[in-house]
Amino acid sequence: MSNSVAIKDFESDYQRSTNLIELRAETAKLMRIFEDAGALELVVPSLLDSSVLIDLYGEDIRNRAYTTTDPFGEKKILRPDFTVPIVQMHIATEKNSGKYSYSGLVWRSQPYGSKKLSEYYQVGFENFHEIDSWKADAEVFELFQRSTAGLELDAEIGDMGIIRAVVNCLDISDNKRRLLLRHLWRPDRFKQLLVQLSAGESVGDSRAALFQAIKNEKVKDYVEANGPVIGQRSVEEIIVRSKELLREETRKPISQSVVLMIEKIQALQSSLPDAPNRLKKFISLGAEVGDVCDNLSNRIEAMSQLSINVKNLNFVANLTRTSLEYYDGFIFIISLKGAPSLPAVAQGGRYNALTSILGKGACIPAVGGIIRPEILFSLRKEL
Amino acid sequence: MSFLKLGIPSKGRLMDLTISWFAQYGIRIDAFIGSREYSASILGMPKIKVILISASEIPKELAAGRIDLGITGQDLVRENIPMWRETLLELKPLNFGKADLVLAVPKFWVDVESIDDFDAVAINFRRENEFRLRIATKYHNLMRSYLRRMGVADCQLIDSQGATEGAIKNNAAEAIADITSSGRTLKANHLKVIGDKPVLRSQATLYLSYVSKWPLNKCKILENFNSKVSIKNPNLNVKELQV
Repeated sequence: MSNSVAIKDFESDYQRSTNLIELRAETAKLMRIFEDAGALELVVPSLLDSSVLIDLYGEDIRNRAYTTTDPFGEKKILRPDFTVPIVQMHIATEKNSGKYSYSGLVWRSQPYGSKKLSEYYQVGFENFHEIDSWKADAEVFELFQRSTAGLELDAEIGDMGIIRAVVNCLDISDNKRRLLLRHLWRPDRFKQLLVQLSAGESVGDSRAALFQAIKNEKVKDYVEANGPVIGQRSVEEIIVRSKELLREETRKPISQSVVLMIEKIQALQSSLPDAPNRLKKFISLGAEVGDVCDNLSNRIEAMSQLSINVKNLNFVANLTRTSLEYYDGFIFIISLKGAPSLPAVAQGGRYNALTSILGKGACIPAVGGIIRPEILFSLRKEL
Repeated sequence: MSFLKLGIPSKGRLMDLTISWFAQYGIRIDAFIGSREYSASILGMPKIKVILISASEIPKELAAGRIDLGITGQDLVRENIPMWRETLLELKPLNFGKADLVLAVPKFWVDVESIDDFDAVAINFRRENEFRLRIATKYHNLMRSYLRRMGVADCQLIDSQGATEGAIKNNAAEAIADITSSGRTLKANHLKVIGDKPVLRSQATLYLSYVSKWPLNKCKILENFNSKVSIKNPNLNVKELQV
């Protein structure tokens, strides 16, 4: 197979040239593999209620998905992925565990001039289980590797748990920690926050006046003197945060060497079996980081036991940090070798945080992924 | 014979200031608003057809190529024409109609000064409430790209087409984003601006449409017009414009 021919096809118009009957056959083959793995097929509506998605992703979703309104003002979003509705359907069953498969179109709005498609097929598998386990991670990865077998594909593995554990071990205020954790998926903002944390912030005049008022125990008067109380945010909330700001101000900034270490961790790329030891070398922070490295080792072990050739897999610490915030642990991307700019053939990972938000705090460990059958199909045709 | 179509604001201060701007170059624009039909003529330049259009419609008319030149606010162009640089050229900023798009919060939020504070408060707000912190605005596109650029995560935009400053008092929003020139309305509503720099600094600007057709004779009219109002724009390449 010549990769260059395949690439040319993708950039033009592979979807239109794909024979829909053959595509359906490819999809059916994948769905059979998922069924053999114990999945129940779910049918998901194309128009989703917008409030859940907007609440999850904020305004970002409007940049990424097609939103629409009906004449009664009901807001809808054209399904940008299956995972959120699948999680909702699973929660509605009130069962502890479940494996599901699905297939169909997703719609994503692409940047102006982008050649990426705004409408394409996904075939997916999601596994909800009682106990978070590296074994489930390994099983899902094995399933997706097997489903895409027979092609020269590269697989990259990442783990969002590492950077999260690092942030959890930093000696910073809870507020700052919340900020950093919130921005894990925005690398530029994350970096900017780290730099701020290491430099320490300068205190301007009005902030100094606020701090003085706190020290004089006159902060409530100070807040109310600044204007009438309007809107939802309460005086109490403002006082609490103001006091936190003062406490933060007296904290020591994080050291430059810690910032450097975090940058090195984020930049790490290695073969998967080398990753735990390479990471441990950087890490002098706390027990939680050590635990995550152990998880990584255990997962690699579980993958080996499923006859996955782990030496051929690459570990990329910074994988998919710029996509929609979603995966928060194990991540994988399977793509055509030597063609990093092409869309991935398959991708997936663990998203316990997402299920916990949608489940109103209930812990439902979940791992899953999707395959793009059109890409898989085009590559198979090239063979 | 082809005309050069120039769209100017059809009412209010922006129209008056546009007419005075032309006047300083000795160009008289007569606008007949009293009659049913909005029309205007430009004295001494018969090849230019002046069309009175609402300032908010001018960006779309330019982007569709239905007018060749148009005067409107930069805020309206950037909000309403995605990738406006592909279709429009800022021929000349006109030094009037100046206004800033700003993000504002209640003045008693003494702990919030910068966009970083705002982000942190939004994250806390989301934890304490069933919904994301609301910003009332009509500038959805500008605000969405600003919030993304600044890395503000936990907000939602609420549509407000007028009297936006009142939205907080009505419990419809926690913050607002709106155009302000003097800041008086913000002050009267007990609001203050966040950050050192506004979301956007805007002023009335003369735009050229790359979408409309530019045959040779129209290019000649344009060159003649440009020299009358002393426009020398290094980004304007009349040879490339010509079809």
